[in-house]
Amino acid sequence: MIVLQNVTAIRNNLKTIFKGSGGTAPYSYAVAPNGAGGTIDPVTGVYSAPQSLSDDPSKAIDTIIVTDSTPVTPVVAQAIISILDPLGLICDIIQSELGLADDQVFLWDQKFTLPNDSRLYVAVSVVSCKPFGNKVEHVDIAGTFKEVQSTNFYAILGIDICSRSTSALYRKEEVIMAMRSDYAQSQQEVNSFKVATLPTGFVNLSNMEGPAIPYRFNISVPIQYAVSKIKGVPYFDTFDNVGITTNT
Amino acid sequence: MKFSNGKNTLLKDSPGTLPDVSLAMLNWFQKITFIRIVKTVVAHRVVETPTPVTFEGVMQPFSAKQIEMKPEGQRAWKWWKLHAQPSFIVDVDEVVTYKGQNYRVKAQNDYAEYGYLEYDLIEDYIGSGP
Repeated sequence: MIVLQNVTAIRNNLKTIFKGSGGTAPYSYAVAPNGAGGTIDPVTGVYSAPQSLSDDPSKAIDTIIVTDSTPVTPVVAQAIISILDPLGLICDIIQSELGLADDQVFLWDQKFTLPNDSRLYVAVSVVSCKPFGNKVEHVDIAGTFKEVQSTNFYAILGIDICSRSTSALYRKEEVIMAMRSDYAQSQQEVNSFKVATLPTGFVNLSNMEGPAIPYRFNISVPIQYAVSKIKGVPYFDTFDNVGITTNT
Repeated sequence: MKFSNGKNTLLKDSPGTLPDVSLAMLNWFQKITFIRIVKTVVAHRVVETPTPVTFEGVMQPFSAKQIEMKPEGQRAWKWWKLHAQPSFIVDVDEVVTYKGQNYRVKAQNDYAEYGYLEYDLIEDYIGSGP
């Protein structure tokens, strides 16, 4: 039995669906504890991501457990979904389209030393960030008055593709193709962000590092995304008795 | 009882006798526990996991002569020399914690064929961390 999923990563506060396949229907769905904190409908398989992202990377993943209806010994299958911000979703697109392992695509500037092997590595960083929208609105959500803050950003991402072998030399173009892939388009539609189809820069930064000369290319890719935050609206519901004092 | 004296065996009569001083080094070593910061990538972010490692070795501060040979600007750093058994391997630029103090590995000299490894460490006294 396998678990079908549309995406392997999603933004916070959004929904996606999981579906069991093979085995014996109907299936029941559950989220493993100690994950990102998302919830899932046990019957329909509709997964709801948590409202906010966690600072702890180990809390950025939820494991979905699907159990079929085989009598006596039900079959169990699992799927993983990551809860990521737009930067992390770009990493997810690159990892998915280039077929890389979990430790080959990472965010830049985390004091992570590249292992001394011939594998391909991709680091994603934010070169510059320009806000072009900032607003607040007050809406009724489930009977409660809420303040919704949202901002829009235009950012230039720096994607560094590096390898000690010739992998980076021959596969650098795949990064551009990944930004235009069907998976990238589906991720943009689900998660409400936009990635430019052509980069604004493509520079060869290959240089000597100790005894090796690894291939390194820097690709600048613009993206547009929005960030929102929901909080309760403060209000007064306790008032002292009002008295009127007059001059007599 | 006949005793064999090493001086009676000429070098040309004993090829391939690279001296393995590991047993002698063990008498000089003591048990040391380092805490290595093991980095893994989870959800495209680096997760640092402190992992204690116990091995046999000895820590010595650099001598005045050794510090004098360092480039200007690095002589004020606190340099330490670690000799350890060959099973203890750390990478250059890795950070380890020993008795609550962070040290960064600046150099590794591989004398495993002789029975030990040699490392140069500096105290990370400004707390830059791993």
